[in-house]
Amino acid sequence: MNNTFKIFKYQVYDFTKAVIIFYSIVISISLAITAFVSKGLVNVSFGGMEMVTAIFLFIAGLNCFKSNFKFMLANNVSRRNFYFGNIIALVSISAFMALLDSILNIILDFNIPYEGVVMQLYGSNSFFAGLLWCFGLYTLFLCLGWFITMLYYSCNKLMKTVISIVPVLLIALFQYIDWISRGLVNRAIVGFLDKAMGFAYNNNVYVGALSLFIGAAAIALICFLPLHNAIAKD
Amino acid sequence: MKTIQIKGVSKVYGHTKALDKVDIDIESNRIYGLLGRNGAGKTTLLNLMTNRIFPTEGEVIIDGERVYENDKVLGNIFYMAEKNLYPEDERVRNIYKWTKEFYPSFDMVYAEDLSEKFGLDLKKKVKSLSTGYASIFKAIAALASNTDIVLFDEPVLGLDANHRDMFYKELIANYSERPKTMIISTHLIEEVSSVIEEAIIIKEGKLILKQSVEELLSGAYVVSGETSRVDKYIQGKKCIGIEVLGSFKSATVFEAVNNKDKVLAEELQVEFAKAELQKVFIDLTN
Amino acid sequence: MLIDFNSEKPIYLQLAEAIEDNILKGIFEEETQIVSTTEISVKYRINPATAGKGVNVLVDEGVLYKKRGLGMFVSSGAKKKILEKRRNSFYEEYVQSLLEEAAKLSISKEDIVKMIVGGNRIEDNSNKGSK
Repeated sequence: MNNTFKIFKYQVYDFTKAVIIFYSIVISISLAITAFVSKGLVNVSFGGMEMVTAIFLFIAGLNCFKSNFKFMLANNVSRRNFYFGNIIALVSISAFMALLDSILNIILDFNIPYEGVVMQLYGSNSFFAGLLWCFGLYTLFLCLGWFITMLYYSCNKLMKTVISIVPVLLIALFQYIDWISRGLVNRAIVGFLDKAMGFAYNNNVYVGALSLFIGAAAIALICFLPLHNAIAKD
Repeated sequence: MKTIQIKGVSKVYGHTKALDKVDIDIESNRIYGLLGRNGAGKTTLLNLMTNRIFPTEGEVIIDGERVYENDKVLGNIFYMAEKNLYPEDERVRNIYKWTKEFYPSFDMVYAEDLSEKFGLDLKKKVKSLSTGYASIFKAIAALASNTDIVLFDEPVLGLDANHRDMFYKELIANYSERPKTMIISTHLIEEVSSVIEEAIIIKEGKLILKQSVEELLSGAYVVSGETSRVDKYIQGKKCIGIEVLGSFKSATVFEAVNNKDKVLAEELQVEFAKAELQKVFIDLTN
Repeated sequence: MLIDFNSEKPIYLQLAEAIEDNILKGIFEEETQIVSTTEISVKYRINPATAGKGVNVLVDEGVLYKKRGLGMFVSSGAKKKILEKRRNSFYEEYVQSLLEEAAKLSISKEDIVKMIVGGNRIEDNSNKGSK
């Protein structure tokens, strides 16, 4: 338990610099756009900044494993505590950034014509729903990034190649089945997403958020598979 | 008191057996030397003791508990690995601060003192340290950790003679101040032979010998003289190494000298000399 | 104090002898404290257990004694004890090896006595002419 907290602390510390840089860029861009728009210099439709955060977190997730895992080994922390400490850190970072983005949303919306991603997708203006939805999305992306690096880390060269090819093959297979079944697969996927994301239920943001959380939890759980027997490597 | 028990541990990588059914009992509060040639399995053994890799077979018990994913036991061991496991972009001082987080017993003041003695710049980033200073940086962390068990893997790698001497002196001072179990894995044997109490010698993944250095050396000697005479002398004795130089031969005998041997040596006009740990080691692992 | 790591003797015995030497030379006086085992092990880079063993040999022989909480002290009469012991082993330790070496070099016992008395090198007749 004690080590879980220390790992959490270190992971948050490790993120701090990147998050500060990220937000200084986001805020400068926002300020610049606000300035231009309010002076009537440009007339851009501006919105969905949360997707930028999601991509940032995905990349951050890809980069936050190897060095921290080694550091954990250097300090003789068990993989179990490393796992829990990291999951708590990843969730906390996602929550923090969702909160910041939601606040940024309000500020931007107040000054310029701006729409957050939830407004764009669901037409909902609820602060809480937006926050929850982004929180789910960020956790999902961050955990996904983390999972992918861990998967690569724990595989040998052959398995790395296999893992890299599998998604390509799967997509090709889906396309093929889709082609012979006259769009059945595509329709199924769209239908699934439609329901999962809550569009089918009267644009329910909460259903979407719930699905995102379920997805994130599922990824977080399977993260333990590559981690539980990961060893020190170059 | 036994502190580390390595029980029938094997480690297999693909087709190679890095360790083969190794059994070792480590007593607490002693300084051990883990000696072996490159690739003998020293690092594998240390990695196994600290849950960094997992045994294919067997188990490691520390203070009565299995070491596998055991934070309580692991928190009492500091392992200075030969490879760098620390974040490259972090500054040395910062790493010491984080080490203090994970090891509450870590002595920051002592670490700073040692850094000053060795001339290690705490403001430097890990990646900018030379091989020698990278070793010093890790060795200081290990010495300052104040854990009950401290493992060193090639602690003097890249250190000049002065720093090596300083390191071993600091290690002894540290041990005298607060006795602990130390295992030093190294291939620079001569330097460490007076520092360690016991030698653990491994060869090709197998334990060859575990004995106090004093016993080991009093139970071995070198006999030299004219080839045929030395040959006559070593007949029926446990000879572990032979060197020939023209008609001169010297042999390392791995048993204690008794009075009968002395008489025989005088008769044959062969001479005895002390067997250095390094010499015994080379003969045993050749 | 010098410890020769190349000597055939175990380190702990060498340490004991080195301390004895210092007592004989009067560097460590009777009823005074000697350097601590820790200082010895650090300075000579020897394992504290080995250093302790060396010191204990002298404690067992009554040359040194422990004062609780203070350290090691030289016993009164230590010098005498060491002298006796060393005198007893003088023949085995020094004379015997001297004779062995002399035999190898075919130096006669008479020559050895001459050297000891006169403090000279032995006369080597073969080299005289070239000088």
